[in-house]
Amino acid sequence: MAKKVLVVDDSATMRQLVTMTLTRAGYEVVEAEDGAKGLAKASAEAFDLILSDINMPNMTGLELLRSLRKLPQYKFTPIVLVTTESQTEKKQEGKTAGATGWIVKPFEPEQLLAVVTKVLRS
Amino acid sequence: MEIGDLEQLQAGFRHEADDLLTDLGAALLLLELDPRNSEVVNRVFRAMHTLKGSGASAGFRRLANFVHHVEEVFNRIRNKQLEATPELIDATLKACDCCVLLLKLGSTEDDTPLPLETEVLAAIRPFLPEVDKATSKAQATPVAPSVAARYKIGFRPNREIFFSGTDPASLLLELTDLGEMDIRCDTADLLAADPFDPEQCYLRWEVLLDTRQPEQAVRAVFQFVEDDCEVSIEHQEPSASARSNSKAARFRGATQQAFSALGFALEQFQSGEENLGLATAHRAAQTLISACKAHGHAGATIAARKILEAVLAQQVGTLDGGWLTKVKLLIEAARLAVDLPILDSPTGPGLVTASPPGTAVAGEISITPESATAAASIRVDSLKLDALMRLAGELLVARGALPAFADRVEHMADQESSKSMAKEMRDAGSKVSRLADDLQATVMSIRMMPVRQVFQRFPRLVRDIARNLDKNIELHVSGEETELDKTVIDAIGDPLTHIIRNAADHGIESKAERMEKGKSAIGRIDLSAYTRGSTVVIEVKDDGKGLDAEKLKRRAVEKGLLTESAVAAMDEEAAFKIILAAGFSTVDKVTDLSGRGVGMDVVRNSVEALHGAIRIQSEIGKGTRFRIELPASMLVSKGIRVAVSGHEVVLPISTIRNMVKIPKSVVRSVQGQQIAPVRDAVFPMLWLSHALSFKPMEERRSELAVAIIEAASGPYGLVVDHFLGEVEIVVKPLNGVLAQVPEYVGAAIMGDGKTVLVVNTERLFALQRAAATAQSDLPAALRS
Repeated sequence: MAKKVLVVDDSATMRQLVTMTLTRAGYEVVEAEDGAKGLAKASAEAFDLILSDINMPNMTGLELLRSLRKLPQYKFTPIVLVTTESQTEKKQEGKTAGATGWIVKPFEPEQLLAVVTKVLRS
Repeated sequence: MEIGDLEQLQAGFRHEADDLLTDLGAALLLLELDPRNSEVVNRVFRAMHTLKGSGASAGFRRLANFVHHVEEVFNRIRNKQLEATPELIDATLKACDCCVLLLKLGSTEDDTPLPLETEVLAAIRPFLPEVDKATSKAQATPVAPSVAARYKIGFRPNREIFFSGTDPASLLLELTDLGEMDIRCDTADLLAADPFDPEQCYLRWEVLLDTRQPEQAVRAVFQFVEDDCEVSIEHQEPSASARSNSKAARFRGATQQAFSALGFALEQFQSGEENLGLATAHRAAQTLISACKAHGHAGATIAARKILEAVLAQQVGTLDGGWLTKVKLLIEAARLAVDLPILDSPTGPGLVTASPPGTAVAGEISITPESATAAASIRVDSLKLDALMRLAGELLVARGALPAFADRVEHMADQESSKSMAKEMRDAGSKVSRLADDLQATVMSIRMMPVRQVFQRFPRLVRDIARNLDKNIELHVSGEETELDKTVIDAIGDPLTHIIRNAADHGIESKAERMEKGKSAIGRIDLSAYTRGSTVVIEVKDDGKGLDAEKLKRRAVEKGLLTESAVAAMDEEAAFKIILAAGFSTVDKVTDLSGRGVGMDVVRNSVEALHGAIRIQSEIGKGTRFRIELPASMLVSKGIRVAVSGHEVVLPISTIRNMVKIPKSVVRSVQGQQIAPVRDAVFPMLWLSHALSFKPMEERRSELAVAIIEAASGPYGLVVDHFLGEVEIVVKPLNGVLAQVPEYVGAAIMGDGKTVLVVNTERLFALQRAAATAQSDLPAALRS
């Protein structure tokens, strides 16, 4: 069964890039354009991994992360944050909030795949 | 990434960037009016941030680098270290223009800065933060793999590690990719835990890893947990001989362990604990694979993989007896492979290497011409697409019912059933018609876009003109959600720009002049759009100095554009329309903006090409109003069918002011031109039969059917034989030689399949006058 990934980002380009890269690698990808929609989707379907941008309207990535960690089904699910290098201070905040890891944008598709493979390893 | 993917990504980003830049422009104009508004500053910053991040991700490197600098300035504004002055806003608006140019360049490798780029960067340099922007990120260069090294790794996860979605086992598995290892688990804390919380991690591990990978690769495994777990990585010097001996011994030990686990798994399976047996076999097979991989034994690895595949297949599929035999054979094969003399492969444990650094984008992306990208893609409301899909589906279903009728007709017995049959067929037919109509309407509506996308460039235009001319002008926009066909939207931008420029440049007076006249110092331009039936009206109204009809008339005569007699007969509105004539301008000196007299005739031509009409109203000293009427949909429009000399043609409804019947007796001839009063106005008359060179019908009627046409050259009455009714038509332009016939704008197919021509009512009268003048210049003998 293909692993299911939720990508949350307000930039259509980023969502497109992630969907393209991961679908080619055999993952099933669902998109959401802001934190609130991401939370709704995550509550309605079961995901193996959630990838979220930090800067978004309606609910930031960190707020989404905290909300997700409160849900029993996402207590131990890998959740990876997408940051820009100027936001390294967010990494610590992310860790505290329960992020599994992060990926810095702009990233090469291979980098994304490496991180996804890493956190989805079982 | 493949080329096709990149192109798709870039096309998507261009759309996104368009929206971002528009939002950015609007926010900057707001910021200029309210420089301390932190919400607007954030809006600006966020837009730049996304432009940079997504732009870089889509391969628009130069754009991202450029935006980065501007972003830095706005970061300072966000931190209140700087204030947004008009000069800064100017520079940033120019930066937006520069972004548009950089977007067109795509992901070119060429680094030569554009002139605008240099200009903007120079303008913002004084505002950039002091830090040296040229410092590059220090990147640790990966050490080339050399000899195998041994690392002693201590890994003690923090108790809460599971809550960050991390599984320590996965990290250990990742280590096995790097080489051979010996793992010891310390369970002391687990045994001592009281009370025991199953959601906490009490384990710690010590790993001895032999690998050819650099230390950095080892560290990378722990990159996400390093900061809140205890991780120690010590480089150790193993003794050479001990190394090689222990390596073989390790391999033997690991594979022995795996094989005995497999044996155990099969026992479980055979004794009825099938799921348990499969789970054990799964783990054992994975262990075997890791061991063989780490040892660099390709053949054994493949054999071990086959075992895992078989186990997986069994886990998801139905159990059958044949599986057991098969898997036993596979295990034997793996054993044999393992026992074969092991050749030390040069790559060693490097069977699975770290992913290579990101490869550069292959190929050059060439600049696509503007028109190609404009036509290439269109943003569509997904609800409309859903409706389209649904209708198409229903249509197919309805169509599917039709062939059955033919069969049933063949087997018809009597009169009764044939009647009900006929009714059924009619019903089915009208259902299909209705669906087809709906389908067409939906497709048409997909091309409809809000006029907002044309209007949104104008606030900036007006602001720039106002600043350049030192005037104070406010632009008020309304009705932006009014929808127009995409073709119209694409074409109406230029004419509107000319009109608005004209209003701002020539219409609105200078501050001093306005104060003198007792007007408010701030000039006002109103841009609005609204629907009226199947017509969309766009109005540009200004409270400037208005148009002087007499002056316009004089100028027209002076320039030889019109004769004295022609202007004498003109009513006020016709006089105003003189400004739309080619080669006309009342400004003596040519200003940078719109004084060259070439702008306004573009307006007339464009509007005509769109089958629209222009009206101008004005009052000296008070202001001017331009009104453009356009068919809402280019493709489907309304027309009036008329009979003329035994033929049927269609008049586009957009140009028809009204349709009347007048007594024949009121028509007079003045200086060779037929005229007639209609209500309280007098119009020149044109017989359609004459204009289209048809033979005139016998005039037995005492009443004439006249359509009052609103044309750019002035209103006139078009006499037809009969009005036949309103019709919706899809106007198709004429091709080839027929396209050169100016009397027609195209042809349309009627419901009964007949083709009719659509008359160019807008130009018909002017064409006739031109022909008549040409005629009157001929010697009498040659006149027709």
